[in-house]
Amino acid sequence: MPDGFLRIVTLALVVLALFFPLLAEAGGSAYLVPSASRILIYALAAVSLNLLVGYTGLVSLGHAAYLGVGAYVVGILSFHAVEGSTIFGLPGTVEGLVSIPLAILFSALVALVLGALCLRTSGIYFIMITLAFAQMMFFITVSLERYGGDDGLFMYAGPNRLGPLDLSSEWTFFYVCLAVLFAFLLFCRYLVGTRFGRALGAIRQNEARMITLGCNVYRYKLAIFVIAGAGAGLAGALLANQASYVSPDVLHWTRSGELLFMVILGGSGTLLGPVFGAVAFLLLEEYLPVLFDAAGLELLKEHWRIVFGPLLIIVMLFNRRGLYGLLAGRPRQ
Amino acid sequence: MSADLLLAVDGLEKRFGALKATDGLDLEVRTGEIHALIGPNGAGKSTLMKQLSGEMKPDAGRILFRGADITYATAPRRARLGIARSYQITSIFPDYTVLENVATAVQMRMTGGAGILRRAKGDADIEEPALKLIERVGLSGAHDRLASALAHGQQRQLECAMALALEPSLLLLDEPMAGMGPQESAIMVELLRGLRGQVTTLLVEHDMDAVFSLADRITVLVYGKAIATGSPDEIRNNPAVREAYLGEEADAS
Ligand SMILES: Nc1ncnc2c1ncn2[C@@H]1O[C@H](COP(=O)(O)OP(=O)(O)OP(=O)(O)O)[C@@H](O)[C@H]1O
Ligand SMILES: [Mg+2]
Repeated sequence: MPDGFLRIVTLALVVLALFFPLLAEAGGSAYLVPSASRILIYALAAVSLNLLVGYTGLVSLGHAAYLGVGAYVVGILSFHAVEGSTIFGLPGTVEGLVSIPLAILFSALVALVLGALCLRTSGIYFIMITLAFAQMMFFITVSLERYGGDDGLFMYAGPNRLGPLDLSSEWTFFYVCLAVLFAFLLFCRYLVGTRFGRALGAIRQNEARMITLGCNVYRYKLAIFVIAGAGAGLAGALLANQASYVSPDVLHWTRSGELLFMVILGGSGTLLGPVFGAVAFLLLEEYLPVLFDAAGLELLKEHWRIVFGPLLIIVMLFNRRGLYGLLAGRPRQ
Repeated sequence: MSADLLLAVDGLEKRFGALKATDGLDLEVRTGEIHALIGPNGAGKSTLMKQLSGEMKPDAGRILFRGADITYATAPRRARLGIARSYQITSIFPDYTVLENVATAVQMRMTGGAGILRRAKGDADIEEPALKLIERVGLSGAHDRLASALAHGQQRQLECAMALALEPSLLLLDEPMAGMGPQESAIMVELLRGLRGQVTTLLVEHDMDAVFSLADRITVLVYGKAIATGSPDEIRNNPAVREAYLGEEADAS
């Protein structure tokens, strides 16, 4: 458990999250609930990316591809359910208990195939090839004419059911996202604490040494690549349900870049860092222009990124472990 | 090939451009011995170690381990066959504690699939052997310290513990005492002496006192070639060695 200031901030965030829909409603801002859900979903995606970037030292610049695969699986199944047609001989579905596991499975499979290729390289080549494959996935979705091409795919049936739960209820959906994020965090905490996780950290610190200790580092990296891909796929499935809409936009390379930014801003290699990063990133993106507008700074409102960029860089320069590091103070000695 | 031969190097060659770092090298390491490899800077000692551990592929020649050709076996494969090494330039996991470093090495020897999803911290199966090794190399009490926070000599000891954690049958030590103080060196010499007969060791070392007191046999490497192999006494009295190597040392000191 984190200590000091970090603990207070963490607790405050947890309490805020638990009561957010209530508070929003009481404050007459119920419209904020879906935005909050979206933040939780991106936090989930960032946490999954952190398994690669932070814990294993694999800087992937194509993580949005798996987000996209998850989203498209949900979108396409919903499409066929509405149309009453089949895909690969099977009917579509709007049941989340079917579509979400399938989304996870598919993104894991895509991660297995792409990871098997990407992980043959390392360093800057790895960054470039993950980006290249993500772009390939992007263009594949653009070319899916039947599913809207670059216009995207609208889910006319609305969000999925999830067993007894109806995800079209904003409250229900919010709490589902919160529960999923919480469960995934627990899973990650367990995973990095295992011998497997220990080995991943060792690979990050000194891959050559791990090799001469007898480690088949390729297999370890592929395993975590698939797990991270599956996590992003889960986030993608939720994202489709959040918007009732999927489009190639989800897979755009800038999305991958944003996820990477969230991880690094929040603190890579820390459990909660990516969550802080996602919250801070999305809030700043949303409210920085509003803030400048309120302050009457027309020019900055228009070009808010001029402030946004340096702000992110300053946080990262200040502390290698990003916001998490700033809150936690000194690392262990 | 005789039965007590653990490692045989046969006509090994490694070129870096025009430079022959390993030049038709023959070397035999017998089971149980401490075999020291000495030679001036740039003689190709570390390059040989890398080829033996599998980190570098030779251009020609063969490496036989227990009679089996391992010339083209990968580094992880060789580690699993029982070849472990330590590095001239310290190679550890800086963000891990001493215990985590050694436990990681222990787990790499043990992990055969199932145990991999067990919680690592507090896992007696890996931590108990790790703590024993930490004590053995003289680091007891430091097990909770971050590896990066250790003094240089202590990192060398840690390095050695990690190699031993693989319970190797052949230990490749590349200058384990480099940069150590006299006290740490003494611990290391005692440790290596204790390993004699249990773990076959190929020891690269510049500390001649340590080499001549520890080694069962010594091979002298100059410009990638073995110019002599023999007992410490034979090497000490070998005129070619004196000229090529030991003489220089004597002049320098
Ligand atoms: N990767 C490399 N590329 C090119 N040349 C290399 C490489 N590695 C080693 N060499 C050269 O090969 C020769 C042997 O180097 P090596 O490191 O094996 O020597 P050494 O006997 O270990 O020396 P030292 O006692 O200084 O550690 C040196 O001339 C070195 O410059
Ligand atoms: Mg050397």
